[in-house]
Amino acid sequence: MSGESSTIRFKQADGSVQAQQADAPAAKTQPKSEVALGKGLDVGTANLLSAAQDESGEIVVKRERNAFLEIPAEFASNKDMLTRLNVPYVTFQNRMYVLGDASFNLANMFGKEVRRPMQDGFLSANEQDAIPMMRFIIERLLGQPAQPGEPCYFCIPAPSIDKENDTVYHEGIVSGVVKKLGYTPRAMNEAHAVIYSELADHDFTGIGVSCGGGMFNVCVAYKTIPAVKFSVARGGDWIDGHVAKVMGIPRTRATAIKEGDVNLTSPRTREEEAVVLYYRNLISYVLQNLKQRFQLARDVPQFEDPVEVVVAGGTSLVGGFVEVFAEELEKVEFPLKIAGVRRAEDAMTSVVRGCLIAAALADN
Amino acid sequence: MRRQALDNLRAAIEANTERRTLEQLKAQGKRTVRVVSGEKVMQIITAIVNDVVDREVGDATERDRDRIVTETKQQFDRVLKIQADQEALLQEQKDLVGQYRDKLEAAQAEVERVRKQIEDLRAEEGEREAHLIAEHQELLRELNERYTAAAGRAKALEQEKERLSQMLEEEKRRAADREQRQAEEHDARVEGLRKEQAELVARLQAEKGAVAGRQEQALADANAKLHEVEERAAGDRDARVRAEQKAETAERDAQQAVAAAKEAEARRAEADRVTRDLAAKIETQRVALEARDREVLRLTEDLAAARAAAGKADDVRKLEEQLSQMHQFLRVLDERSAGANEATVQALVEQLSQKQTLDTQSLEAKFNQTLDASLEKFTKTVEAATAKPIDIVVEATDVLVDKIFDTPADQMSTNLDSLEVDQKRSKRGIGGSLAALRAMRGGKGKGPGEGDKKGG
Repeated sequence: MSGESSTIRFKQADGSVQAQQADAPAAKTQPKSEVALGKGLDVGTANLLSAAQDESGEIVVKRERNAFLEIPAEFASNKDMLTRLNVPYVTFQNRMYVLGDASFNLANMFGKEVRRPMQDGFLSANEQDAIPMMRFIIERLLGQPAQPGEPCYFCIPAPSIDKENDTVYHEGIVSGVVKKLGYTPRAMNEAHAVIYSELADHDFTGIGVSCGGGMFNVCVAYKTIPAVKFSVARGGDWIDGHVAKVMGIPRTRATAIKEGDVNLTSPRTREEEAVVLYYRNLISYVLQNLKQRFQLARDVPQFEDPVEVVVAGGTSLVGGFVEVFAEELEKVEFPLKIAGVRRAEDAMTSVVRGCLIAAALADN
Repeated sequence: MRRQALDNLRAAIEANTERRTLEQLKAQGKRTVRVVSGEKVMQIITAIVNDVVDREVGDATERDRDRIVTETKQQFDRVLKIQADQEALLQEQKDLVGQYRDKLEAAQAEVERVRKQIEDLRAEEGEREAHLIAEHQELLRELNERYTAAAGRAKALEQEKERLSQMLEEEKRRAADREQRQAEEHDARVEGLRKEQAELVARLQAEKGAVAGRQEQALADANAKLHEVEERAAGDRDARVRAEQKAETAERDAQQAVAAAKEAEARRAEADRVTRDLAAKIETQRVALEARDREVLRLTEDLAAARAAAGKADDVRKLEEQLSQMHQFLRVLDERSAGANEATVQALVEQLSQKQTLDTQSLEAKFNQTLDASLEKFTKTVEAATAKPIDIVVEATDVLVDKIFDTPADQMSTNLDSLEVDQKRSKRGIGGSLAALRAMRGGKGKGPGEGDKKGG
């Protein structure tokens, strides 16, 4: 994936283009803050990330794949070897589970599939036994709190507009796990976290879109206050599945094509064309629903100036994503004036950064 | 050696041998080879043939030897020819095989091309189909949502209409009863007033007649007395004095009778004045009624405006009918009240005005109440459709988290404590964002949360 930090500017009705100020955050480094307590936690379908400030004020981001694998009992005795190989494991009742990235590597070796605690952004109904596994991974990422009750903000998706789901169980379990580790847990909308991370120079006013594997989350905020937030139950996995189906290829191949060097503005093969088709369909779907939700929302503040759109998440890393997003946005005739579209400086860690900012703010 | 034999041998050698270059021989690992010339081979063959002939034939003559050699050579030529023919046939077969191979390759390439074409068409078809299916599903979902919403709205409106109809029916019944009662009371009152008026007029007339009669009688009596006195005065002065006194008395009586007549006249004039006042008051009431008519008209216009806002045409039309009926009723009242007594009519008109005002006010209040109720219900329906639910967050308790997994946490073992986690550092800090947030919140430092609730 190209992952280039491009910004698409929109010409306004009076012919002017919004100032280039918004490009600056992509390049400049924020000043160091006094080290506040607090940690951020991104609970994603594919990856779990944590963020914290070290003594020097630098941000330390830790990542682990949200997956685990039960390995055969005959290998369970070689614990020392697994430790030497830096393979995290948990054992109980003569069963051994390998956690995180190592589970993918071992899955190929044992000819098994990894198990995923989460599906489509929420705890998987088919993997209730996986909750303790996720707890261990979260514990590994967060570590011990600097002091009892240290704030920890974790992200949750908004309820989907196109699928029956709710955040009650998911939020309750994650809150319980984080609290059990000694933190004070608080939940935060995923797309709202993107706004906290990327729109400081715009008074935290604009539109944040978190493009994940299981779903896309959207938030429209005015001076940190969310006016509209929702999610759609389609993400990178949805694209993979549909491309595989229509092209008659394995899903893993579709994923490899999507995560390869494809550019959405210039597909070279029929498979890449299919990827482009489904990306455009998904982006258009999200924008149409955003327009409708915005128009139906009550008590929406007046956005006097054009607002910035920031996209983040692994699914936004494909080449040409920002350009295609901007094209589809112009077709939609959104009721807000849009200054431009850009990708977060680090699309993979934008959400967890936003959670960290919220936690550090709560520490005061 | 004869040349012909040498030529045949050369041909046979060429047919049964292969050319090789020195490099090829070297490549095959041959470093040395035996080389023999055609002449030498012929000599060898001749020697062999001679030996065979000598062995087989023995002491044959030179002629027999030549004959055998000739026959042998002819046989050898025949064999060579057969071999040459076979070589030619073999070459022909090889050429044919080559042609068939070329054709096979061409056919395979064509098959490959057609197969790829079929695959491309299949993929295109699948893509189109998937797109169409997605579109149809989206359209169906949208239509279903719209239908559900429209059905809900229609049902709500139907219920509202039913309720309003019942209310109006009830109101109609009450208005009809009220009208009936009012009409009856009015008729009775008017009848009473008429009777009173007739009695009053009769009394006045009787009084007037009585007063006039009394007056005439008194004058006649006075004249008679005067005449008697005059007759008595002719004969006697005392009688004349008594008669003068009696005449004075009669004159006083007559004056009193005239005063009484004047008083009766004054009372009649007063009655006329009262009647004129009554007419004036009736006129005033008529003006007031007209004003109230205008008020009713204004209410009617307001009603029409409210109808446009509320969208309940049937209900408004019925209310208008009620208002026009009320209007007509007021006109009838006006006509009926024209001939009534002052005080009674005034009381009646005042009572009717109050009742009309009450009725109009009551009707207006009822309509406003109904409209407000409908608007409130509509507002609540819209609020219910768009209201955000109150979020309640429940945190999984320690007990629940432990119960999720049968084995208590202390019975597990792990090596997580002794392993490093992949991490990366970022020099892009959060100081600027934090400072901006604190400035925005006035240094209160509250986090966003979900409604600022804790996770639990």
